[in-house]
Amino acid sequence: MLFTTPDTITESSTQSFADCRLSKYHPSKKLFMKNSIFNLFILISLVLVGCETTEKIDDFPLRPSKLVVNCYFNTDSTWKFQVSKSLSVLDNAEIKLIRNANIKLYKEGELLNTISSIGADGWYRSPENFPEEGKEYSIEVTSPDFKDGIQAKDVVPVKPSILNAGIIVTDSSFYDHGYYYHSYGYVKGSFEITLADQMNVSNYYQLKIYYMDSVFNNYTEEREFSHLQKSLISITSEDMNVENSREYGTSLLINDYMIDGQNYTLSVDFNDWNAMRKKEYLIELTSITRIGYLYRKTIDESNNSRNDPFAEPVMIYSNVSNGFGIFSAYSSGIYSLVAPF
Amino acid sequence: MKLKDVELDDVDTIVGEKNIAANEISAYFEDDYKISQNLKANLGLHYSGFLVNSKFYNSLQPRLAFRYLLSESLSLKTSYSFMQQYIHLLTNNNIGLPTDLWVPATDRIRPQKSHQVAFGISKAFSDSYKLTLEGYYKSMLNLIEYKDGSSFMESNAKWEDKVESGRGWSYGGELLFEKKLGKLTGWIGYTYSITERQFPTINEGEVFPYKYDRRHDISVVTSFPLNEKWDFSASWVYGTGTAHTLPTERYMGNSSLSNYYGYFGSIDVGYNPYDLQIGEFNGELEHIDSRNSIRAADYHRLDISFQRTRERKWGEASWTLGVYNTYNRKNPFYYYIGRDERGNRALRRVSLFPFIPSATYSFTF
Repeated sequence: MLFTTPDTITESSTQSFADCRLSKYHPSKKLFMKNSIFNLFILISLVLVGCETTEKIDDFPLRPSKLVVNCYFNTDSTWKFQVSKSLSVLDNAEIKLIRNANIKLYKEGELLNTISSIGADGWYRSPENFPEEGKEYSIEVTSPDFKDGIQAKDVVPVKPSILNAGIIVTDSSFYDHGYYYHSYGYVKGSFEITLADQMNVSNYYQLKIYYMDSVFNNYTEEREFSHLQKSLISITSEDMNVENSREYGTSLLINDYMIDGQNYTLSVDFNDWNAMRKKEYLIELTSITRIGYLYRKTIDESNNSRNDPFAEPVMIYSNVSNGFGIFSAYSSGIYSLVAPF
Repeated sequence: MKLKDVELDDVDTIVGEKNIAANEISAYFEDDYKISQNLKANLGLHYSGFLVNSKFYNSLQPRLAFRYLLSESLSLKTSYSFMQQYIHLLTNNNIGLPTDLWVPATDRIRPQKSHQVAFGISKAFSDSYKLTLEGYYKSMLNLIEYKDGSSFMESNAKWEDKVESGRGWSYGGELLFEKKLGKLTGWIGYTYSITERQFPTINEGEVFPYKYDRRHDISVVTSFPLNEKWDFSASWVYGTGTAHTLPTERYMGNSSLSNYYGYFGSIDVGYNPYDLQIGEFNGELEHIDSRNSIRAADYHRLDISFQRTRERKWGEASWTLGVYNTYNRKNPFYYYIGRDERGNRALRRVSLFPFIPSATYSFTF
């Protein structure tokens, strides 16, 4: 009630019966005001408290599990597969590997091998086979726990070629301690990498640059680079052929839409906070198929937008029929470069 | 990691966006033409031009409408129009918050175009009652949509780089029943419509529903005087839920998952701290069937109001007491995958604007 009738007039001898006006200090008037404010408060509360509600929704499409296979293959490594299963996005269970899968591997349509035993590390392997450049490989993966098997195929691309590479230093700061080869510091600059693109073929590349860790040999007083420990450096590029050129990362994705068949020089910026004199860099250029390119591109987009609630959802690419995952081939070429600083 | 320098003019945020100067001109010619006793035409021609960033767009847009009287109370209608629009509505398909933007056509983003045809039949049962049935088809070109992964909150890319151009269709039918005279007046309307979009690289090039595709739409509006002082009005609206994009499944990604771990690599690095052991959760991916494939719960609400109008010496004053969403329907505002009270995964829906009373005082003089 917004309005309440005041209490009866107190039997005060100082007030006449005809005097119906209540003093503002009269308890009845106070109660009236108090009730009005309270009612107004309830009204406002109804509006404000009820503005947002969150409730669990049970009506959501729940999908049965499907097989998932992940396999990257190239000419320098034997085959290995990871097989697991998908879960509904509302399923709280942990995603686990499938340990009773049967994998049939085909080369150019002919059965090459059947793999059915999983290793202790969770991979299915085929150590006796090496993928060959230019050949098409396909797989069929089945499991007794699944009604439908999954299939995928891809072709091993030609190994890419780096014609030349150099470093341009734009900023550096070294602390030279004692021996020349004890120096360490910071270098900012760019790699100028010339690659030879195949004509009339849609090529996609991934570029990574490693640096070789080094140790100083006190006996020979020379710095020796260890081929046991390599680390990736963060790179970026504003080149228009680079897909993910907007931010620093450990690899770049490149397409040849505008450089088909050319010997193209790509400029790649880097910041090396672990710079050392005569440091060795390994430039790895990997040729990937369109399948691998789309998979990598969509995963990058998904990861980049993961914490942004306003970002458009990303559909992760998969070339696996009736399931999920990736079955993709690649070939890599390495170019070694000793730092000029 | 160091961010690359960007010029202030290139920063794309929801505020402080670089202004785009544009000029628009238009001219319109229209004529009502009585072709015969029963056939009447409304013919129009609209010309518009738009100059932006040294790029000039212009078009001639015919507008044709015909009405044929089958009898005094029964008529057929048809129309055709070609339209060009220099403003785009850029919708966000993720969280569902009101983050849609209006952006202009630019030298890189072409203006929208549409062709629309409509047919209808109208029957007047008396001076008071009227029934109308109409159907329409509209095709649209140069529509824009955010690319996968794009966000208007990104500060290192121009909005024109985040969108893609495509096409759309909208078609359906509408039934309207009206009562115009008497104490009780109002109308009942039902619309069935389909609105779809298609873009070369969005949703893998497949057709998908537009965010605001509303298959069924019903509206019931009525008003009548309660007494000499008070009028009562009510409206009930119903619509199919809007289209949303949500993941349906999750699965294990490849161990060398992200940009920071690298993808393909032939170098044998021995112990590489970035390599993750199988069994460790090394990157969970979420599968989305297609864009806008999930339908929100249906939207409906009842609004009522009581109005008292008084004549004053200086004009007219009225008090309107109303209730928005009278039965407190929790209409969906947006959805997200979250956790319930026990920590289990759950699809959660956020609703706004429940039962809201209102009071309005207005006057005219």
